Amino acid sequence: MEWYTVGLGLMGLLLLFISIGLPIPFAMAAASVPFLLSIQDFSTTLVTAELKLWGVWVDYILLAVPLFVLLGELIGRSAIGPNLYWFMHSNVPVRGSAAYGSIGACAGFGAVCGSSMVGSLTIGGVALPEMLKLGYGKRLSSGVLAAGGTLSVLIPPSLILLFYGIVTDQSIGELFIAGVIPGLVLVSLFGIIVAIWGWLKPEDVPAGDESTPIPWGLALSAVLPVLIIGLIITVSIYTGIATPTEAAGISCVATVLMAFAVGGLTWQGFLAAVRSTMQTMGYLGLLLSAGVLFGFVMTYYQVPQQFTELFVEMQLSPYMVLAAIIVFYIVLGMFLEPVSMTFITLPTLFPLVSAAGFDLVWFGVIYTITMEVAVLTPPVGLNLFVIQGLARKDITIGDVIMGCLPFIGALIFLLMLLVMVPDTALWLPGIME
Amino acid sequence: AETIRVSTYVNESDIRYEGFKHFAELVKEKTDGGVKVMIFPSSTLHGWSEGVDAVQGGVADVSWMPADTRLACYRVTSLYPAAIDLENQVELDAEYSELMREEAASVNLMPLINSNYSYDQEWWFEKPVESLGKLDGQLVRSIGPLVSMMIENWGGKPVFVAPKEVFQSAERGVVDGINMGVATYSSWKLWNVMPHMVNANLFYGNIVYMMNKKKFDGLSAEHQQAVLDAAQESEAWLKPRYEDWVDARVGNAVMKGGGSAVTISKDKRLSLINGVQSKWDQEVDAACGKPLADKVRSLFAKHSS
Amino acid sequence: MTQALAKMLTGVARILLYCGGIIVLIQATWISYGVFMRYVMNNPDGVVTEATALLLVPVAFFGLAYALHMDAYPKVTIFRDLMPVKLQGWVDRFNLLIMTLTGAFFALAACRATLHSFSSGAASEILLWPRFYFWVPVAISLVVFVLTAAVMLLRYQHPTAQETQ
Ligand code: NA
Ligand code: NA
Repeated sequence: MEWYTVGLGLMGLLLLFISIGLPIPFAMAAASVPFLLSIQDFSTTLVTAELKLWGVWVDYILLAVPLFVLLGELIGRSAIGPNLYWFMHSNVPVRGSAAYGSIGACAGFGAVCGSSMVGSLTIGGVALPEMLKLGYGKRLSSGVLAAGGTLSVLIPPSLILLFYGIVTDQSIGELFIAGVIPGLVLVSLFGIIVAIWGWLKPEDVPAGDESTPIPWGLALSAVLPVLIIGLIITVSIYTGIATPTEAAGISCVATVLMAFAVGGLTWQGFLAAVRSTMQTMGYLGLLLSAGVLFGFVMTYYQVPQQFTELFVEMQLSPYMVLAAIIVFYIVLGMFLEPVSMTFITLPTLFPLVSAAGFDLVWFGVIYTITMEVAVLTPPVGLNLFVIQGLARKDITIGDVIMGCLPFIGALIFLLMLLVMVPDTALWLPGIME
Repeated sequence: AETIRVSTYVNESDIRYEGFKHFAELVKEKTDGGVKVMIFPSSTLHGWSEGVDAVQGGVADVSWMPADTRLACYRVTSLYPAAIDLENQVELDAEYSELMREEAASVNLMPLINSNYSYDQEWWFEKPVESLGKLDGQLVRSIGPLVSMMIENWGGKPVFVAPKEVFQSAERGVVDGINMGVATYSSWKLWNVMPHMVNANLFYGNIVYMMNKKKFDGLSAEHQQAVLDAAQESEAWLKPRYEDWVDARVGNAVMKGGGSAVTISKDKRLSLINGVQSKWDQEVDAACGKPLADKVRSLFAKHSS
Repeated sequence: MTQALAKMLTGVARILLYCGGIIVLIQATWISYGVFMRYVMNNPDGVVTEATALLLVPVAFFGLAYALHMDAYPKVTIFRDLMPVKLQGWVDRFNLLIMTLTGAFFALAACRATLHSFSSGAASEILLWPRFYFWVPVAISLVVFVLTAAVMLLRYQHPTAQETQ
């Protein structure tokens, strides 16, 4: 079979399966197996599956995934998340403090959580009812929280940057640090949007937030753990105390201790965090296993290499290549969730970026921002569903989508900023050397 | 035509990949296109330690063999503490493979191509090292039991670091040194991080590529001979090219990082090896049985430098 | 009959899930201990890196059946939702069938690997821990997953039908 027959066949089957609602890990496996059987007899395909299952999961780097997921879940199910939000907006004498507080709490939570869905769910679960009660507009409230959750994947730790590093073989630590400044820029942009929103539609932002001030003890019990965990992750990596995976392990242990000691975590909450972590691992377990099988068929027929050659022959200017890839990810991101997209497309596409002469750490940040857009765009936007699910009676999915639009605008603006000023991402890792 | 799928961990920019391409061309020539060799670089078919399973299960027909317990004697002798003269390397490797043939056959494998990397074995450190024999508690990345034993014997502490975390660990000082060939060292861009090299020549190191024996036996006698000849000729073809390639990289590495290069004197080297060899020999005796162990040792002695 | 089986499978899925949770906690603790021994005591643990990596293999599969119960596998349902209800039912059944079959493929591979690693004595490279130990939980997790998917297929009812009952 020619490479394009295989490439188109695989993609066609995959799209067909996905469009009829077959979960993505199974769609990938079911698309690969017929092609696998065209290379090998059945018993050999079983051996291939065995080698791939084993090979993909005996990977010390991937160990950070359950650890970071558990870490976020533990914080989410303790009182640290709610108190963090309470701290962020109580006693702040500014109009719109509950909205700014949401962004602040999402950013703070982002420093301990690697998944944007968990970010939206945790802070949104507390902040959304509160904002609605205080009289904030439905669209503003849901938009700020759906978008705020995406800060979790730009501010380290980040599962998307982690997976990106694994697929493209870039340093996880460097990627994490590269996300810090763009993350802070995004926090500011989100704040500006809230300010403008309040100015254009004053009815969406109440004149004053009447919230009870948080007692100092509670404030400390929320801020300190987040600060400590954030520091453990960044400092231990950058002082040589530990590797990124080890930092995940240490911060996980620290989180368990702190969540029980000062975060008011209950045994029930702890078990729920464990269940949720294993549920995520269950889907990742199959997704990655199916992904490597899919990738195996692709590389066997040299689809990525041939595709890259074909693309390079078109002699597009580097920025054309980049623009095409960004547009591709924003469109695809409407329909797929980030982790699946990463394992389906990134192995084929990142060589193009590399061939066009772009820095792969920098592109990692660009890629992560397109993935943030993906979780906010319909029809398949995980954060949209999460936020609507939190207030099914009050808010329609249309409200959430409309509320997200300005924040998607901010993400696009950040993309342009990164293209024009690459140092936004690369400066910090540069001075760390 | 019959197809032989060769699986390797080396990538396309590695000189050893050229060696495999040369092997494929020789096979094609010698069999008039009757046997076709397909090469799968960069561990496309399976991971580092899955060579035995991949070849036994038919995923690859030929692949590199890791330190696998199913090849007990090979496991402890394909990396062996000895000062080796590489003058007659191709003959040495052929004899070594011959000694491993029976053990390999018991798990349906047959040694086909030797990939001797004894020429490329360096130790790299963050700071200049006075003597490899006095590591003074330094943390050194190890890759397996023998290297760990060496590090401990010289007063260091062996640390296992996953390949993908080596750069960061080295850069941030999680480890103070590493044992690594310059090929890997260069592809991981460790020049500025671990610039001080000790060129030691402390091992015989040979990663044997083995073929599925049933598959080999299924070839006609003529084709079998052609494949064997091609293997040996491509080894001889690669040897000088590989050495030049390594030399260029070592020079480049030391220049780029502004580090230092130390070559150990013969006496020193022998004393470093001797301390470890006697201990390691117990493992070798246990794994190979005394008679085979003695044969392996006398082979290395015959080719000692 | 399938109801009893379904109930039993839910229980097994929970047990597997918590096994995985315990392992994750062990990994986190062991890694932290490893860093302490290396950084503070300057006496590195020679086992931790390979051991925790090996333990990740079962962790990746322990949650499979539970994730299926919780409908946690990402999917795109917009086109399916546009179909007439009757067709939706058939599409759902078809999807469950494909999930059962692909699950069976992986389960078969894992069972083969378990048997093979048991008789061949395949081991990890540095620690020499038998691979068999790590394949057993993977095979069990996948088999439980396949049974769960098959039972779901047999007991399938369209979501609207479930609500009216
Ligand atoms: Na984060
Ligand atoms: Na989307």
